[in-house]
Formats: sequence, C-alpha cells, structure tokens
Amino acid sequence: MADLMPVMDGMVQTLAGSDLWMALAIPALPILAALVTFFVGKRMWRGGAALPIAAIAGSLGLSLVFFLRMLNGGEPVGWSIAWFKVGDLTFTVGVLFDNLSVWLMTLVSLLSLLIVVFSTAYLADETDEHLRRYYAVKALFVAGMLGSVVMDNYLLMFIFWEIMGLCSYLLIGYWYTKASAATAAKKAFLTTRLGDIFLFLGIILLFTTFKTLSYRELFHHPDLAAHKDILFWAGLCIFGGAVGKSAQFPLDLWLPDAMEGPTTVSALIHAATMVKAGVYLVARTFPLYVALGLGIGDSVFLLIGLVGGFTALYTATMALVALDIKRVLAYSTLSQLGYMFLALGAGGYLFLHTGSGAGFTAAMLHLMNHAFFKALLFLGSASVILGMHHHQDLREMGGLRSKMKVTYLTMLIGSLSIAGIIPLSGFWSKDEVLSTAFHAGSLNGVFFVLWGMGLLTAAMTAFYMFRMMFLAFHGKPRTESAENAHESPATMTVPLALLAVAAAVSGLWLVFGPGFSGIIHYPYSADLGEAEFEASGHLLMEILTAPLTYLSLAVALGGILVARSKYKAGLPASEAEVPTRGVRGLLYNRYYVTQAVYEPLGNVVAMGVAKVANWFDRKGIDGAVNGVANVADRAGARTRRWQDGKLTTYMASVAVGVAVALFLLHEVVLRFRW
Amino acid sequence: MIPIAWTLTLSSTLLAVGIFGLLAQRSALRILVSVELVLNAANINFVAFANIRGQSQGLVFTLFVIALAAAEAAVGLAILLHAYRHVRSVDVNKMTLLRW
Repeated sequence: MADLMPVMDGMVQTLAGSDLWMALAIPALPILAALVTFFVGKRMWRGGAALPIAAIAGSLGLSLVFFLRMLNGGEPVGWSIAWFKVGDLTFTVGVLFDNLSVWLMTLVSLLSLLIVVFSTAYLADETDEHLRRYYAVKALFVAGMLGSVVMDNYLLMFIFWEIMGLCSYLLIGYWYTKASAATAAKKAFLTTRLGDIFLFLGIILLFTTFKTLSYRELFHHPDLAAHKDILFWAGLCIFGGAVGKSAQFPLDLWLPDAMEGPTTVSALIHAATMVKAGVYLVARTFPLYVALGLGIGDSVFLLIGLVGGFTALYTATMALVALDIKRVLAYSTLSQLGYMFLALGAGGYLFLHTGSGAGFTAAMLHLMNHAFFKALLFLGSASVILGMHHHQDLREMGGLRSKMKVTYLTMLIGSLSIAGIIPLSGFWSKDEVLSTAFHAGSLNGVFFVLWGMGLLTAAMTAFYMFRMMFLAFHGKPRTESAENAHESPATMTVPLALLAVAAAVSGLWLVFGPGFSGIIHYPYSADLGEAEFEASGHLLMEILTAPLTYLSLAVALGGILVARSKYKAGLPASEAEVPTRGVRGLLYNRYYVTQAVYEPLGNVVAMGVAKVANWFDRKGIDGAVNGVANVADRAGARTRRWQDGKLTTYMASVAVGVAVALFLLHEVVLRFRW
Repeated sequence: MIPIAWTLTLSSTLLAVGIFGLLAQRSALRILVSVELVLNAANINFVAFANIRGQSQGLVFTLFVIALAAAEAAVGLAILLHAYRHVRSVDVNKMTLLRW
C-alpha cells in the first residue's frame, strides 16, 4: 500500500514559464470575459456573446494542450505560492493539474462552449441588456467550475465553489420578474448554502488540525492517522457540501425547481458544472476517506453509497410521472448523480477492503458520460421548447418527430445512452457502477440492496426517458403549437449533433485504446501498481461475458418496451390531468416531502426560531435601548416642572441651594478643622 | 468703636430683608431694590472687617461692588423696560415664557 498515496509532492512537476501562464489562463479567461461583458456587453453583438465564447474556447484550447500531454503520459504538474500569512499559518494559492483535474476541466470547457454557442440561438429573442447579464454570469459560472477543479487547495476551491453558487442563483433567477423564478433561485441558493456551511466547517476542521489545506500536503500529512476523529467529522462535513451542491437526498429539492431558468442554464448546471462539482469534491477528497482506513472509512463510504443509491431510486420514481419535459430531465439528473455517489461509496468500500479502484473510475466515467448525454438532452429539450414556442408540457406535444428530425435523432441517441443500451456511453458507465455495487455487496449486504435499487433505477430510467420521447415525438400533435413546431437553426442543431456523437462514443473510452481506467483512477499517482488496473481489452471481455451486464441490458430494454406499449399511441387518458391522488399523485408531488417535512420544518422550527429572535430583538435589545431612553424621558418630564419660568421659584432654589451649601461647608469646616 | 456684632447684625438683617424681598416681591422693581439690599449687606461686612483688620482690600472690594451694582441696575432696568413692552406689566410672575 506504500505507493497508493495520491499525487505525492515529489511527483508533481512545478509549472513554470509559458506553461504556468497557460495554466492560470484557463480559469482567468472566463473571469475576464465575464467582467468585460458585464460592463460593456450592452454595446456588443447579442449582449456580448462573442467574448465569453472566445474565452471559453480559449480555456478549452489550453485545457486540450494539458489533456494531450496527460494522454501521452505526462506527469502531474502544479504551482503554488504563499498567499497571505496569519501568525505562523500560511495560506497558499496554487493550481494542481493532475489527471483528474485536467480531464474534468477539458470536459467542462468543452461542454460549456457548446452550451454557450447554443444559447446565442436559443435566447435570440431576449434584449441585449438582459443578454449582457446572461453571458457575463455564464462566463463567471464556467470560471467558477474551472477554478474549483484546478485549484490545489480547499480554500480556493471553496471560493470558486461559492462563485458557482452565486452564479446559479443569478441564472436560475434570470427571469427575475417571474415570481416562481425568483423563488426557485432563492431556494437553490439557500439549499446549497446549507451544504456549504458543512463544507466550510469541514475545511475549518481540516485547517485547524493539519495547518494546511493544500491537497498535496494534506493527503499524505504525517498526522492523518493520529487525528482520525477530526478527519471523520471533516470528511462527513465535506460530503455534506457535496450533498448540497449535487442535490442529493435530503437537499435534493432545489434542482427540479431550478428549471425556472432558461433551458441552457439547466444544461450548464446539470451537465458541466455545479452538480458535478459535488461529485468532483468527493472524488478529490477520496484520499482523506481512504486515510480513515477500515472500520471508520468504510462506514463513511457506506453512507455515501446509501445516500447515492437512495437518491437514485427516490428521484427516478418522481420522473415516472413528471409532465414537464425539463422536469423529467431534472429528476433524471438527480438520479444519475445518485449513481455517481453510489459508485464512489461502493468503490471506496471495495478499495479499502480489496484495493480495487474500479468504483472510482466508474463514478468518473459516469460523470463524463452523463455530462455528454445530459447536455445533449437538455439542449434537445431547449430545441423542442423553442420549436414549440415556449411550451414545455409533454401533454401539449406529440408528433414532433417529423418536424424536428435532427432534434429527434440526437435526443434519441441521448435517451438510448442514458437508458444504458449497448454500445452507447451510458451503458458502459452504468454497468460499471452497478457491477461495483454488486461486488461491494459480497463484502457488505447493504450494497446488494443498493445494487438492487440501482437496477430498479436503470429500469425506471429507460421507462421515463422513453415515456418522454414517445410523448414528445411520437403519436399525433396534440396542440396547435405542436402542429406548427419547426426545427431549430443550425447554431442549435450543430452542437446537438456534436454532443450526440460524444454521448454515443464517450463510453467506449473505457474499453478501447489505453482505457479510461488507465488515466482516471484511484489512486491517481503516476506510479501504478502492476496488477492494479485491468487492460482495457480484458475489461471489455469481462463486461461482455458477465451475466450482470445482460441483466442490466434486459432491464433497460424492458423499461423501453413498457414505455413503448404505454405511450406509443399518444397520451393515455389517465395522464391528461395533473395527478393529485394515489401513487401517481404521491410521485408527482415528490412524496409530499415539501408539505410533510420542509414546510412544517420551515413554518414551525424556522419560524419559531425567527419569532424568538424577533421577540428578543424587539423586547431585549430594543427594550434595553428604549428603556434607558424612557427613564431619562420620564425623569425629565418630572423634573422640568421645577422650571416654571417664575423668577421667584428660581430665586428660592438659589437661596435654598446656597443655604444648604453654606450649611454643609460649615459642618465640614467645623468637624474637620480645615 | 461700634462692636463688630452690631455691624454683623445690621448686615444680616439687611441680607434677610433683601432675600425676603427677592422671594416674596412680585414687582420687578422691588426685586431690583432687594438685590441692592443684598449687595449692600455684603458691602457692610466688607467695610466692617476691613476696619477691624486695618487693611484696605475690603474697602476696594466695596467700591467694586458699588460699581457692579450700578451696572447691574442699569442692565436690569433696561431688561425690565423691554419686558414691560411685551407683557405690559412689571409682575415677574407674568413673565413665564422661559419654561417647560
């Protein structure tokens, strides 16, 4: 196990010269673009769309340079300088380009570029004043994600993480005059903020204990083993941050509501940024969980797996009855993120017990594949919504297949991919996730249950995706807007086509060429153990001969067929209305969790606290201030009666005063003989 | 030589009369006169003690007080004259504008 330390200091080459400038430019370009667009975008084409596009393209180009180096076996590179000192504590600022961050920043910049290009057509109706805000925040959002990925310590990661939180608020509330959008933005901000509090607590715990936040120093800190209790709580807190950002149960409610923003914003949040940051955070923090070792570490991994597995199933059920095309996709994002956490949890558990890093790879592969097909599906749904003249209710669609051929075909590829049909990308990663959970099941029975839930989720995924496809594209048009739907312009269909290609083939990386697991794996040190990673060809054989593979394929096909039999002819009469009762009502209303838990929690607990605080503020703080003033006021009111304006009264006071003074003087002089 | 006690009795009586006048009189003129009485009570004391001690400071002080009293009476009468134009009276109990 000696060589399993990730990214040892000695192995990280220091970035210098032009390489350093290139590395720093990756997050800096979108930040600059955001600033310029914000201030002068109004006077530029489409609110300054060109600048963020150019900046993100620049980031993509620079990322690709590092990406190609990594593929050619380049060593991890990093750069770090002291930022500021407080006492004997030093905060550093720096970047770390290891395989994980290089791979992810390439993915993020590629997807963001396609999404922003797509936006120029999708939001063509908006005024330049609003577009300026849109593109500036969008660029900042991308910068936030790129920054959190490439920074080499928790503090800077957290700063960029918060930038992302702010941008999500601004973009979800893009149509801020709409009450539901403003509320959704607030909800997203506050819910993720709840997770962020935990994350920050975790970071503080780590810093106060280990005096450093740099990944490189922290992950092989000599005191890790001595402070397992702190590490345990810090690890849990960091996971809490990931739960908030990635919208896992119980902080899952904000993501479906985040649909209030423009669809391109949803695509960015769901595919490339924001929710993926939570998964990245857990993957990045993996060494700390591993450092907890058997006994503590595996129970943390079990918790991660439980949260992921449960969220996967729980949110997939909601997607079964959703009527809004974007909502189906939103629930599906939650569910797929659950898969990633399940893979990380089960993978970590497996790693601690057997030393197999397959789960980590599976989670990362699913992250990438999901990014492609979910960006595709969201942009596809944006195309549908635009074609439908901003109607997004599935009940109003139907028969779009012949009118929007490119959108249909690309979304079909995306749906087949997410459903897990061989050989599209979703198949490979979902299979790896499920097989990780299954193998972890032989060590701990709970993972068997989670595997079962994952399998059930796979069936549901296939069902709800094809329910959406059939309702939107097949049958006869059910409304006039569906009748008059038209295909979107090339600015939209070209990104769709590119994404469809990516969503179709990205999973093959696992089994062809050098293999995905040869690049993104845990431990991600340059020094691999010989037998640690299976050759990609061997892995292909293993996948194709495993009975589990065919089980998940069968389940996916079953889901599709059930959807086909039910929705081929169009909308069943039973689903024409918004479900209010029975199981469908339960699912449609998200198990009434909002009504049953969050509203009472808000109305009773939060309102109670607020009322006490209000009372204390009014009676306690204000009371003290007003009380002092009142005493002075009353005393003044009494004593001012003496000042009646009559000369004789004043004279009498003077006389009495002088008499008293003289008497006292006399007494003192007599008594003390002064 | 008049005994000091007599002189002090005189000045005390003058002071008491003066203070009584200040407190009891309602006419501003009478009050001004009472002020003169109070001041002159002090003057008598100054002169008496200066006489006993054979020093001249007390006498000088008396001269100052007389000058001061004259000035005070002038200012006081001027104010009074002005006040009379407003309230058409010299009754100090009617001049109660400066109050709560």
